[in-house]
Amino acid sequence: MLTFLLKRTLYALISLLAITLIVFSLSHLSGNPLDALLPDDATPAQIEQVTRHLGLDRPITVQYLTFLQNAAMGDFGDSLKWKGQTAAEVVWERLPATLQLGGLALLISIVVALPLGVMAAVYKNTALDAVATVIALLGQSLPAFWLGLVLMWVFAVTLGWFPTSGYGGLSHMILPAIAMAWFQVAALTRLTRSAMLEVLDAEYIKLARVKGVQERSVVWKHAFRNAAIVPVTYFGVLAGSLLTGSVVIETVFNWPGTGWLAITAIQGRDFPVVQTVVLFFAVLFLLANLIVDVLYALIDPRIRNT
Amino acid sequence: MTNADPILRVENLRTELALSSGPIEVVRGVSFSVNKGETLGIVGESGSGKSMTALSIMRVLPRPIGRIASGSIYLDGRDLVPMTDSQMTQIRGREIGMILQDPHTSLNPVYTIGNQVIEALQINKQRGGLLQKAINLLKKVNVADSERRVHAFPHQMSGGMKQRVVGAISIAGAPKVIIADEPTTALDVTIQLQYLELLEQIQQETGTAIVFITHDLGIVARLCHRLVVMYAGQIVEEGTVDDVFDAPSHPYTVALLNSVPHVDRKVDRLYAIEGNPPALHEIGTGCSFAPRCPLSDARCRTSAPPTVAGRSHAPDHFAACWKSGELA
Ligand SMILES: Nc1ncnc2c1ncn2[C@@H]1O[C@H](COP(=O)(O)OP(=O)(O)OP(=O)(O)O)[C@@H](O)[C@H]1O
Ligand code: SF4
Ligand SMILES: [Mg+2]
Repeated sequence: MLTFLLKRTLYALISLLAITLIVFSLSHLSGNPLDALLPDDATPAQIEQVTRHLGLDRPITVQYLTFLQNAAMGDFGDSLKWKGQTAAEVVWERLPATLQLGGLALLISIVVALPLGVMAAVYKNTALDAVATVIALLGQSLPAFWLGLVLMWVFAVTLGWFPTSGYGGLSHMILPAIAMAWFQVAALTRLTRSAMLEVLDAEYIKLARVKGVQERSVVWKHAFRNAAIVPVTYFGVLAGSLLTGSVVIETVFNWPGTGWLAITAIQGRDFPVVQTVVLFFAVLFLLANLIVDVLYALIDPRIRNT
Repeated sequence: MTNADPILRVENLRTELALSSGPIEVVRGVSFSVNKGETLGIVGESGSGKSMTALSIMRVLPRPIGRIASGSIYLDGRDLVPMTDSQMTQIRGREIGMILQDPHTSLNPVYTIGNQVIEALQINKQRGGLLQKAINLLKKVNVADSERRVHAFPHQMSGGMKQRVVGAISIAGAPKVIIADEPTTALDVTIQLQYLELLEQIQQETGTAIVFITHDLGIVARLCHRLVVMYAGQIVEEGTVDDVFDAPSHPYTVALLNSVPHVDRKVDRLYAIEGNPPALHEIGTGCSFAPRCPLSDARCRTSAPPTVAGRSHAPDHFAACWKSGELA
């Protein structure tokens, strides 16, 4: 179990290193950062000074190592748009808002999709199964930003039940969270249903039944625990798409999180902030996948013992 | 041996599967009974409906396509067919146990052996000291080192050991009947023998009746008191093992016995008979064995054969054949 987790952590660190390399290369591919940093009419002396200050005159490998070293200390340079703050501070401030919204969306996805998927499998070919199928179809054919706008129009503008946009408590979060969760509910329901259908056909389910186990326990104790591997695997993907989804939804709902920040920073050519957001997202994504690995090991003894 | 005291009596059981191509009848009017302390063998080719008969009795037919269309299943005098699903949950594991064919897939991979045995004990209203009780039960089915094995997961055990665990689960409630559906097919020959001895030992200790489903006539000869022979969802012959082996009274039984060179040798499959069993939706009005039967004539092909006394003339020996008397 421990070696399994250590191995996975090592993989995560290697991935992270690869991502820093990509982020670093992109910052050098996407043109000379000086263009973004300096006014168009900068004097040669100014250019020279900034170049030296940023270390851009040194060999590229040295620049990368310096970048890595600074990143490890949480230093991603100063924000260009939010004067007087470091990029890390700017991103760090916005992170809670994104985690709140993403967390709520995640919660909604799990609480709705898992029971729905399980029940659709147990009551296969009944009305309930049909409802789940329709939800899954709708979810996968509606783009999140469009759904967000519709929800906003109907429930905030027309009915006035929720605020239209901006930062605030639960009432501010509900509409964007639903818009983000919708697609996930669809995907997760479908996955859970098919995983359950497969497990419910297994011999050990038959044995549980012939041994006199109550049907509820057959479904949840014997079948779901085995089927759960599939939705848990998806959780890694889910975390990733909630993060990227946050870019769209936070912008639509004017929710001041890191997604919104990413767009604003790109528009303002605030390169250090963009870079920091990307790295933060990468770390969150890798963390989510580490959690998935831990859950795997908890669920399945065959993984635990390897 | 036969004290004519049936603990399980199946009468005219019909079971249907609703396939997408239309409903098929996989059990077509099966009747038999098992007495207390007796072992009844059910033999027949693959697809003859042995498992479907067993699953009908347990009411764990494939969902949602399987259902009992008609008939009665009396357990200790009570008919199980009209019972609700939740009443049947109370019967399963407590009054009838079952052992499935493949030990490698019949234990839940994510729970320990102990967890799964203890669950069976709890279902049977056992409280307190459950771990020790589980260990004792594992000892009873000869699981070596059961103090340690109780904490193991299924993937850490051999097939023979796992099948013993399934055996332990099936006897946790001291059921009146145990249905064993080809429990040794997936095991090595030596392990098979040990397992059969275990079943005999359990039967001697508890007096439970056993329904033993198998392809292997050698096992039937060794283990069973009586047998029924199934073909295409029907019983074509029934009697004590001695009577049926000495005086087979249905051409299909004759063919089965001929396909076994030595009755005490293991034979995996009964395919030595020419041709294949009929597709169930193609069966006409006549005898379902007619297309493969050397004795078949026009009457066989058009009208269903009657049930007649077996050639041993024992009162409990029957066959469903027009020409049983012509067999020599
Ligand atoms: N899930 C299913 N879907 C469709 N047909 C099925 C299903 N299960 C069984 N059948 C059909 O029901 C018939 C009886 O099958 P059953 O499993 O009872 O045979 P069996 O005598 O137990 O054979 P075996 O010796 O191979 O276990 C066969 O024709 C089989 O094809
Ligand atoms: S009834 Fe006719 S076809 Fe059927 S087994 Fe007897 S002899 Fe053969
Ligand atoms: Mg079978």
